[in-house]
This record gives sequence, C-alpha cells and structure tokens, in this order.
Amino acid sequence: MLFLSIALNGQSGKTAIRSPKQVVEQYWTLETTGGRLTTEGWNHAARFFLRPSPVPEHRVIIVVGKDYSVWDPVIKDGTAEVIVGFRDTCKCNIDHELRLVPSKSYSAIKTSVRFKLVLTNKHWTFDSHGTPMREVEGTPQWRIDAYSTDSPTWLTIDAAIRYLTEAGNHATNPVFKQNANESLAKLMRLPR
Amino acid sequence: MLIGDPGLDDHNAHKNFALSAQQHANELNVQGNRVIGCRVSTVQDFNNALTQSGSIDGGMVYYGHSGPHDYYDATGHIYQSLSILALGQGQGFYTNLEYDNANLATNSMLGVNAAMILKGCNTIAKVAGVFSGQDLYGTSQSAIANVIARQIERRVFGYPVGTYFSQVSAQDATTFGWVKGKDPLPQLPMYLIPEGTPANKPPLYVCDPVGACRKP
Repeated sequence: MLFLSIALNGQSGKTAIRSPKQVVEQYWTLETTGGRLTTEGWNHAARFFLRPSPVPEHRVIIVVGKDYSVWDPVIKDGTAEVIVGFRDTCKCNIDHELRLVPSKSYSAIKTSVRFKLVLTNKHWTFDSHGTPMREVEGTPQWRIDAYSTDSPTWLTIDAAIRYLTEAGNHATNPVFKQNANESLAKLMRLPR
Repeated sequence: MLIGDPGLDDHNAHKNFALSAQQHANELNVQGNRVIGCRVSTVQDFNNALTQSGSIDGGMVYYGHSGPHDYYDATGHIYQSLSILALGQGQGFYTNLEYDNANLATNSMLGVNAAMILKGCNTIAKVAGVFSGQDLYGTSQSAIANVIARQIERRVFGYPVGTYFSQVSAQDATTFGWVKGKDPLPQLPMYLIPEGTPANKPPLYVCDPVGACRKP
C-alpha cells in the first residue's frame, strides 16, 4: 500500500486516494440522507461498492438518528474496517409493506455499523440504465466490500419521513398506504 | 464516584445519575469516608478518575448507562454484541468502555482491596460477544463487570438485571421496576436500584479478576 501511495503521489493530476474513513464518511452522508432511494442515486452510489448490484425488489430500511461518529479505521493488508457509531433514536426498520418494525438492535444501549473496505484499482462501469457492464481498471480507491443489493438502506428520521410520504402517496395497496401513514405518525414524534 | 452522561432520547436520565451518586456520597460521608465525584464521558475520563484522584483505598462507584452494544455489518446483520459502560452519550469509540478498549483503564492508584461497584443496567449479564468464531475462548461474551475486573485486577460488583430510579432504597421498594408515568422527582433521596420482586431484589453480584461472576 505504501508503494501504491508513493506511485500515485508521483502522478500529478490523478485522483488522490481517499482514506477509508473519508470514503465511509461520504457514503454515510449520502446514504442516510436518502442518496440511494432513487435508481439514479442507487447507481451513483455504486461507486462506493466493490460489487455493485441492482436495486433490490424489497428494500430493508434501517432508521437512524442524524448524529454519528466515524471511528478511526483498522487497516491491514489492503483491507480496512471502519465503524460508524450512530444515535439509534428509532430502533426501528421500515419493511417492504411500509410498516415500522423493531430493529434487531432494539435492546441495545449503543449501536454501530461496520464497513469492510478493500483498496482496489478495479471498478465497474454502467450503461445508461445503471446496469453494471464490465469491470475496468483505474485509480485505486477504497471500496466497500459488499454487494450493494445486500446492503440495507440506512435513513435518518427526516429521510425516512420523506421516503414514507413518497411511498405512501404512490402505494396502490390501501394497506400499504395505511401502514405508511401510521409509520409517519410514529416517526414524527421522534426527536430529529 | 464516577458519573456518566445522562443519555439521549428514551435513555435520558436527566440529573438522576448525579442525584443517585450524591445520595450514595452523602451516606459514605456520614460513615467518615472521603468521596470525590468525577464526570466521565470517555474512557480517558474513566481512567483519569482512577489515576488522578490520589490513592483510592476504598472503592469506586459508577453511576451511568450500561448494557449491550450491538454492531451491524454492512448487510444489516448484527455480527457482535458487547457489554459496555456507555459512559458518554455521544457516538465515538471512546464514549464506551468495552472489551475492545478496556485496556486503557489502569490500576496504578488503586489499593489492593479497592473494589468497584457498577450501578447501571445488566453489568453482570453476559452478551453474545463476537459471532464470527474468532473469539475461541468466548472472552468477548463477558459482562462488562468481568472485563473491568480482569483489567484492573480488582473485584467489581454489578447487577445481572436492569435498574431504575427510585426515591426509596432497594429494600424499601414496592415496585418490580420503573412504572410509566411515575418518575421520581428530581431531588434527594434518589437511588438507582435493581429490577426485581419487592423485598426480594437481586443483590450486587461479584466478579473477581479471575473466574466467572457469581452471586455472593
């Protein structure tokens, strides 16, 4: 990794390698404010992932508080672990029927999420529909080592409210619409 | 007397940790003990309280939040759950005293018979620990009282259950636990007492530096 850094520093005008902490910081900000809610946004965020993949049929949404802290990374052999501690205000998820359900961390006093990253000079290109086309080589960057489809969508309460409002408005199933309204009422009562 | 942050949202204890500590300090003072109060929001604060208050030959008492710290992975699964003292109400690494950073607590100013009491929730309760199988001995499953006892090589006491604030002591309590809508007034007397059947509340369990925690 040291060799790689030196080599890159010698290439003026090339994109600098963002640290794993910077990558996660940027991803978390984009993610929690709803950056991956649209297909366009989802594809745009694919650059953070080692293995980008399509928007899942049923999203898993975990609602988080807006306060967070990105911890210093643990870097070893071209991989990094970065943990984000977040304020788990809601302790809830939004399921695909737009219901608010208790999260897995319901009984925890503190909650965090760990991202594993890999330093790689490979990344994927996409067609105009956002479908991954082929893997190409470029400037090395730290990327999250997960399939983007497997990654739940993390949303702040404000972003979750926007999502539920939109999803509820577009829902054709009256049960989903009702669920969205009930979920919105609960979220509105939480500190933001 | 180590007093953690009050907490946020549903966990906001307001001044009740400080009041409970004050209650305890008053009782110790009456018995002729000298008590120093320290606010601890980080692991560094915690260690400073242990090392910069002169020689501690009696004991230390922590009043604050505690319980499991759940860690999700990028796919939304919980991959480890650690027992912690949630000293600070922030989200940073050092706001929690846990298995991963307990080595920052030192015993250089602690008398050989000094002991620590953890007045918080579930400080004796074991947790799931690291799920990956990397922790072959299950050390990460240890309750935070056990983790601290090993680290400072002193006895540590705590409760295996949740705790709640009360204006009567544990022996006089008439409720199992916290009753919604019946919060104690923010004034003395104030006690942080264990959940449990009235007149049969669990005692403080003890963790020695070696071995499992136990009921005394």
